Amino acid sequence: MDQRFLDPQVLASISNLELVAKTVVDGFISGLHRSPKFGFSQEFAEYRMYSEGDDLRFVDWNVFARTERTYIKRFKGETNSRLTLLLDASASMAYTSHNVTKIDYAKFLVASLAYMAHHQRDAAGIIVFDDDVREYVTPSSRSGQFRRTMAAIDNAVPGRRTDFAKAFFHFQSTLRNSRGMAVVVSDFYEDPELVIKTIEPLRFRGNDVVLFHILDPLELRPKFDGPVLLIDSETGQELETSPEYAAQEYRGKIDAHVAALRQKAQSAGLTYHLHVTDTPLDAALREFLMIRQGRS
Amino acid sequence: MGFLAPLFLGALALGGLPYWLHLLQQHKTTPVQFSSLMFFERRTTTSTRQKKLRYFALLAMRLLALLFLILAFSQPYWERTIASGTGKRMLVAAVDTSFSMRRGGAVDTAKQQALGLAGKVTAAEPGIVVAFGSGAREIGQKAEDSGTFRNNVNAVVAGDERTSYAELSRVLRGLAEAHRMPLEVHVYTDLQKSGMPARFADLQLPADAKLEIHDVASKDLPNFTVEAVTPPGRIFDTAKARVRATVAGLHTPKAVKTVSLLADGKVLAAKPVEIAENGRASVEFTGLDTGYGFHRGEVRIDGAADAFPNDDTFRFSIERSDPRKVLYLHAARDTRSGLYVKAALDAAVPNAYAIETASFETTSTPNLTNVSFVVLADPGGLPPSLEASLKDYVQKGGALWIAAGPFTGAQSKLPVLGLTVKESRMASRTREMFQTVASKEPLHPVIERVAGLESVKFYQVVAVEPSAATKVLAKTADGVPVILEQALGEGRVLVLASPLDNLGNNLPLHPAFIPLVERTAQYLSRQQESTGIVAVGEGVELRAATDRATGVEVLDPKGDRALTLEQAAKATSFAPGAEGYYEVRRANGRTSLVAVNADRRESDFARMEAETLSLWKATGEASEGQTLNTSGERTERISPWWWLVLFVLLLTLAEGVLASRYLYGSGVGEPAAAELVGKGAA
Repeated sequence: MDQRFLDPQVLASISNLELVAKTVVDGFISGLHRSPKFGFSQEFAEYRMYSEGDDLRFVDWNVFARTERTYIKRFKGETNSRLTLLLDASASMAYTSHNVTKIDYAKFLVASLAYMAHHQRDAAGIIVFDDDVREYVTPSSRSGQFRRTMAAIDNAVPGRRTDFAKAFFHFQSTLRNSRGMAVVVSDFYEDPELVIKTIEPLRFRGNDVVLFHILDPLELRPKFDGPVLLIDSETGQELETSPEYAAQEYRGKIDAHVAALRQKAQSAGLTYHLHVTDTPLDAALREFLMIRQGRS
Repeated sequence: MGFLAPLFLGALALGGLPYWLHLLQQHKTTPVQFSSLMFFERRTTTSTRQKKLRYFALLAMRLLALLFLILAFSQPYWERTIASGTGKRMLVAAVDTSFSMRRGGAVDTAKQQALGLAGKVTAAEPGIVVAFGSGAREIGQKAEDSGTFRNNVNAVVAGDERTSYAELSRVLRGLAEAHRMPLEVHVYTDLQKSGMPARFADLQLPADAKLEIHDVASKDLPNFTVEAVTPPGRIFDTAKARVRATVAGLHTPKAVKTVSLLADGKVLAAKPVEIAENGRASVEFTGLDTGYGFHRGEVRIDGAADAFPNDDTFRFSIERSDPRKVLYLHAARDTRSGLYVKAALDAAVPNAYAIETASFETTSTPNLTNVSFVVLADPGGLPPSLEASLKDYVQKGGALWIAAGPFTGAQSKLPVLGLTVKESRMASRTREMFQTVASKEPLHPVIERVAGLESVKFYQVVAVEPSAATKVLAKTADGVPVILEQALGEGRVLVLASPLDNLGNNLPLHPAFIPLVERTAQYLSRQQESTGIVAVGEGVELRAATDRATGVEVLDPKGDRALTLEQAAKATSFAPGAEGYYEVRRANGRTSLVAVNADRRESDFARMEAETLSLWKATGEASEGQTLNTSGERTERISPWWWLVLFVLLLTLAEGVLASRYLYGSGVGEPAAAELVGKGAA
């Protein structure tokens, strides 16, 4: 698979999100010069007694034939393979200065992660939120889960304002009993202190939390030819500013915001990654795999 | 260079306005959607010095337009010494050749005096001779030597027109414009007050024209004149013909004068008449014993004993003919309609028509010889032999007037013409009480001067289906023809789709009836209305505007053709230039005699006041914007006002086009802004 298919601009021309995810992941894996078989998640870990609700596909029928006891065969990767994707679908995610909006980029990213998890037979689910939870697919490895997850991702369109507290309250309640991995994809236009405080409790529950900070290149380095009247896409607020301000003070502020978010995330044991929408997705996937491998 | 209104130059300070507006335009912010304003703060550029000036071409246009506008208001001017300021002038000898100048050889006196200018004519100061009456025309070419000038003056002949000083002034303005020289105008005239225009402004002389008036007539003279004559025009009964004349005394004492009536130079009657001091008197002659045909009539004051005998005679023309024969055919039961028509014709043109009445039932083959036109009153059940003979009569050039009544409406076809009769629409209590004429052909001779036809109430209208050859002259609101005309062979048929018996309509008792019958009779008997008397310079109608197929001919009093070939083929009217009798052969083949008299305002020798003359002369003095310096040179102010206004207009248009291109071409607005942001990112 050609590496150029990891380019967001190329991916934007593919309408099928599942195909996008397949293209990204296959391309990424082939780029690693490794077997497309993940391996680690298929290594045998242990047997445990069948309990109600377990997937019958994982019952070891040979053991049952010999012992007349029902055991579930577990693999290493499945010990902590609950992946929950949190996708910010607020209005600000619709912003773009080129062909790929932030929400598109985020959708490619979470779709790729979901695809990868599906191939590892991880239980993947998704929460799409803005100022409320708009879509929720419980993490599971059951049949049809991947399709449901992809449909939820596909249906995500930019909505209203961002409210982390409400979305994360919902998320926490779903992760109360099991450890897993949470990936938050957002532009994090919120006070870093508040963001981390809201997300930090997830870490206390033994979850691995990864923050993917999605920004447009122009959000990092805005450049205007003259005075502009900026309109906030979430609040509709209007504000006149000058190119001089955008070139100097704004850059300082956004850099400080990113730095603060990174620093506070690290302090809280969270993994933080900044992704600019004109960069390929492989960095994000690599990050995911590293964390996933560390867990296995 | 100077300015007439220099205070307006203070407005030049406004030149900063477009500059500021251009900077202000820069300050206009472009609306841009942005993901979050979390890290933005309000920053407004407060100083225009920080901004770049753009759209230089647009700014330049606006500044120039403003500059030109201010300059236009301040009215700049340059003073220019005209080359002709050396004192050289063009000599213009204007000789009054109006009718009044015929008295006492005034024209000859004027010519003699004008010849005195010949010695001053040189190549540097050429001379022009103008003869003026109601119009002014240049005699000969511009003379650059005295000989040519003399010849031109001698070529001036007396005329019969009336004086118009306004026309002279207009021609002088044209001369000054054409020759680009100041004029020295010598006017040889009798200073008739009646020659003054209604508006004094029409006397405006060209700039820097020097006017000198030469009075070539003696003071106000007593004058008797035949002011107007009212002849019958056409005589059918010589014993009953009456001629009325008005004689006037202008600046005259009370007097008794003998007024004679002449026909072809023969005195028919003479009457003494007492004319009051400066007053008028009327005289009426009864009986004009003349033979058949056209005659040259005159009313003359015998022994007027005044200085101007030319206006003691007034010409008129008369035509004696037999009454025209009209055959009125009606049903035996119809005894009313003929009475109305006969009464109307007798009232309108007494003795002009001799009406013979006959009923269909008794007349199968009428004698149609010398019948001017035939009237068919409600021809329902017309005998076939009668219809055939009428058809033959019309096809050979006769004329027919059909008044369709209830019996005609009962037939399927209209007699003679054969047009289909659709129905006979009667007044109804439930539908309409009556119908009226809603539209008509306003220029047709039959209804051209018939007033009030629209208020005639038609209780019954026979709905005739017009053919392609039929011309509908009047119709009701729902399109039913009321008056139709159709040519048949060489003749013509006129149809009134309602009877003449005062039952199917109220037309016979309506004021429009008499003129309608008179015009119809004239039209069908092919007689055009003719005044027979016109004034010199007035138009004589030769043909209708649409009638250009046949040539016309006019013979002047000397018997010469007065029209060129082109005029004979195309002219619709002719303006005679001299008194006398003109023989006019019109497009319709009729020949008539037109008597032409000079305008009687020429008989009043009251003169212009000295003040008026001074004012007239003053109109040629150096006008505003022109001054004469001490050396006699003429300095003229040249103002570029119009040019400046024109430049402002052009610049405004160009500015509009350019601004539109900037506005729509660069795409100011959200998409353009997005593009701008995109560029910024790149």
